[in-house]
Amino acid sequence: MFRQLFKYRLIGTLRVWQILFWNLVFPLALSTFLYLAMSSIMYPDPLEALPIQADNALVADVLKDVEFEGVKMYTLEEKADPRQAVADGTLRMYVPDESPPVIVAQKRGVDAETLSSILISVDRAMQAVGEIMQTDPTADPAAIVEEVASPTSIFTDSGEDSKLLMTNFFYTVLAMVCLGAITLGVVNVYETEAQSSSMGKRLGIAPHNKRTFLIPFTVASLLFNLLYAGVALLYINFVLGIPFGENIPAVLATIVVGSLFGLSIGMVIGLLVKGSLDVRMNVGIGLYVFSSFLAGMMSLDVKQLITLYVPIVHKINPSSLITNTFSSLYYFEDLTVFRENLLIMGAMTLVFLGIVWFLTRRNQYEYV
Amino acid sequence: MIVEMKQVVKRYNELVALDHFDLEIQKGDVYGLLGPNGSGKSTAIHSMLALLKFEKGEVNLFGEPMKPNRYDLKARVGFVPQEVSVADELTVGENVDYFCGLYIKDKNERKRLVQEAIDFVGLEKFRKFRPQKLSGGLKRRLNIACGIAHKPELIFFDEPTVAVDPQSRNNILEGIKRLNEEGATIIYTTHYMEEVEQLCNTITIMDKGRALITGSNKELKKSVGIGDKVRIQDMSLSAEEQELLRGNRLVQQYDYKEGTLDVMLDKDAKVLHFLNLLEDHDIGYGEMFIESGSLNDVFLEITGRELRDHV
Repeated sequence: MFRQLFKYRLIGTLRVWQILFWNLVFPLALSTFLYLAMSSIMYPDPLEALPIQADNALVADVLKDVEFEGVKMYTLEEKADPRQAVADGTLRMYVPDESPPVIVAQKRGVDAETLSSILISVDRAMQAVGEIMQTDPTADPAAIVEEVASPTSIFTDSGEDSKLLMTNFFYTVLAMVCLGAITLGVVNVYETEAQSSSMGKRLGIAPHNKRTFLIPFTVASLLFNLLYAGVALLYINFVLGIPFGENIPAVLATIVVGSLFGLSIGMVIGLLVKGSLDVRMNVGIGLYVFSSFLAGMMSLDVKQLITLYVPIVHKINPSSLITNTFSSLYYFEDLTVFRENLLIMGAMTLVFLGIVWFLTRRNQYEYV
Repeated sequence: MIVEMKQVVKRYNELVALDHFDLEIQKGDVYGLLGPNGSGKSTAIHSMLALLKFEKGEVNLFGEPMKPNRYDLKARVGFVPQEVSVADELTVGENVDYFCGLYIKDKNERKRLVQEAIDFVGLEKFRKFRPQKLSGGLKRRLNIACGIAHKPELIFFDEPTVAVDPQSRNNILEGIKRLNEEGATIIYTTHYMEEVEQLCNTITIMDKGRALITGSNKELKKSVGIGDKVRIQDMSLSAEEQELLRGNRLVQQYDYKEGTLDVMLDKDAKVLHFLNLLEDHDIGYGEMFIESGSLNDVFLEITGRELRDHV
């Protein structure tokens, strides 16, 4: 019996293109659009080393080593008339040996601002060198500059921060795939109700308890959702290059619990919301879209506001729970957040399944 | 007795859907529940199948009280709902196998039964088709195959010919007769009285949740005094001849207008007697149409309303 119902549930689900579209194709397309939209932030165009000239040897020495993601930012030139070279464009910027630092450039802009901030750091470092050398003449000036200014690391860290923030969107998309199981849960319940669906009428007079149908339906739906989530994970991770950390078993556990969580929510909606399948589906879809919105899929500001002002919502919002679990696996080596979130999701899933068990037990008659 | 309903009462708020409803169905019956829409036919079926909770009375199937958890009784029952209830995403073969599998565990036996059901409804050519590729009539046949594949002893047909073309309708009715000949007891609800007359050996006419009258087709007509109807066109009757016919004991109802004579004969009278009457009095007649009294006349006689008016 289980095998029979399970088999046909799998075949049936596979052939409904709407489920495939909304639960897999749409999230993949969404993540692709997000990727394209954010790739300029996450992966800016490779920099070309800018031709500059610095009269101060120490400054020139620092600038020639400044890198962004392994690419040198500047090539040091030596022009006879550097101001003229800047004017005719053969030199992008010129740094005369002056303190406070001065930049000669054709126009203000990102390049000039970037160089300016580096020079300020170097200038401060050089002042520090002067002070240190007065008290410790044996100190290595280059090492002090390296330690105090660290101009290379300033930009690298800044880029990584942007990237890390952007990954949250992709974690939310994967959470959305997990919560897509809500729609499968709604359909599972609806199709076992004789008063709602014609299929349910046949099942209602079959010689079996309603739960006999719900269990294989749920297992089949879970399997499908895991497949969708697995494909989405592989796509986001390997094709789009979004990192999920090293703890693969924990990522997979999050997907399994998240999908079961979604299914259980869907079944409760299916049982409690009365009306046509469309009505119940709209409630389910509305819930998971709103949940994803609160988790920051449309704007990270929303997530931050919710976290700040309504932390309880952040703690129990399904999409936030799944998203945060993925985030925690990437951001922290410590698994405390992961365990805590998984525990909350597991507990809520059990509560929802309990409600389903109770309601299907109570509703002996299909019509009242 | 296969099915027994005793004094069943079901209310939907103020509306009484079943009003102390009684029913007895014997093994081997083709039992028709006839009534206008809203008369309580579906409510009666849902009560028999324990899909519905009723306020009062009792329902027994195969001599046992029917409850939602009487899976042993449910296993002996088949149901063909009014709307086509199949999985759109499964093929014809898969659908029949799926629903048969709810009753039959053994794979080989199920395979045989599925094949028999598909052959029975003549869908072998369409085995790999999905329902949306089938015509309305073929979908109805699939609907039947899904309900009967497990060879139930008792089969409920809830208006299975609604919106079906005449050819498919005949196929369906023939199929139901064959199922009965093979030993199944049939419960058939419809508002098409012709189908009930053609198919059922016992009929209950329902209205407003009550069983108005129960019996065979002939018994019902006889009980309310319905005889054959005769129409003769292009007939010229003198006043004396009109008076003779109007007052004759063979004629229950009489109408003569513009050369057309319509009479309803007494329930015990034969058309031949009426023809003899005309010939005995040298009354000439031309083309004649004879129509037996219908169940609509029975319904009209009992309720004062036309069954067709409510369909």
